[in-house]
Amino acid sequence: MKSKILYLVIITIFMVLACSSQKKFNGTIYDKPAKDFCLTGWEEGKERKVCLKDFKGKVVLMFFGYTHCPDVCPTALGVLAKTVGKLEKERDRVVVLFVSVDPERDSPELSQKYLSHFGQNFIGVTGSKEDLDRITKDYMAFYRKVKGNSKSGYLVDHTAYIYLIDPEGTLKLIYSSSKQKPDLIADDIKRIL
Amino acid sequence: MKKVALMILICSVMAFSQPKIIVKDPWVREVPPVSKMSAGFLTIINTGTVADRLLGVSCDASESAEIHSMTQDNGIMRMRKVDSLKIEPGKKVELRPGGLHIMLINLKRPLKEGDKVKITLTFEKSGAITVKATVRSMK
Repeated sequence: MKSKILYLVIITIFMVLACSSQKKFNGTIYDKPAKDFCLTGWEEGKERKVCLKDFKGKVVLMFFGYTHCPDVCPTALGVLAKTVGKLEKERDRVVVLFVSVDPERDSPELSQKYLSHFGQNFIGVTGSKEDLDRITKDYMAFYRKVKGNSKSGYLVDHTAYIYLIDPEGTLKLIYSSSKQKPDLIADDIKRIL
Repeated sequence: MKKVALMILICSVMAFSQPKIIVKDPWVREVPPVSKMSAGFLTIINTGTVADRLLGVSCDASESAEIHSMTQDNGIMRMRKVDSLKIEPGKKVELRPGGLHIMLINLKRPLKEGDKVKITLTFEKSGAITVKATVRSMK
């Protein structure tokens, strides 16, 4: 009888510990291996292949967007710039990866030039529609070109999650727009690194 | 005599039944110099007694400007052009990040923090109202 009670107590303690450690993160926990992909970036005046696995050992903050996006994408990138600004020693081990889902208008060069404005270690990549379709599907993201009457040409409907991939290559956390706050994301990064 | 009094009454009621539009806190988002698009935000208040309608917008820093809405549906952000915006009497309409905004299309010059741009809003009844918006950094 005593041993049963002890067993129950131990189990309860473990469960409480497990729950409390889970609750420590501000983003939504996903915790599955992040599917690798390679796209095209821009460095020192020429295109280069950029793969997710290149960033093993670092925290990757990833976002799918497009540079003609006037509100959501610059807002998210501003949040990520502020997030990086809140880090100290961890800063060198954080990369922001912006995947443009609008390769028609965003070349790797334009994507990188757009990203550089937000800080060091801000990387802009893009690729073919086939690659982007596959990658967005792997990451439960969505994008669609919408032709309308806007003089901006066309608009792009898109999901606006921020993905946190940990140094081991696990898609650890996902931030929906309401959770996209520099303090919350920076807290999680500090906990991981 | 009664008729004249009635006419005066009707005229004065008509004169007072007008929208009164106030535009507050205009600002524009700083974007990377390579970007051709930005967004403007402000609050429109109608302190009058009848509704007014925002019919169009323009900006001296961009080739064109449009009113856009933003809706979120299952995590998907959808931006759409809005033809006009009704401002009810005694109400305010906020254009802010993540919601309604003025999309500035094809910027004529890069927008840097602290710069001022002119935004003109054209209302059905109140006519054109021009405000100076400050460029704000996102970082």
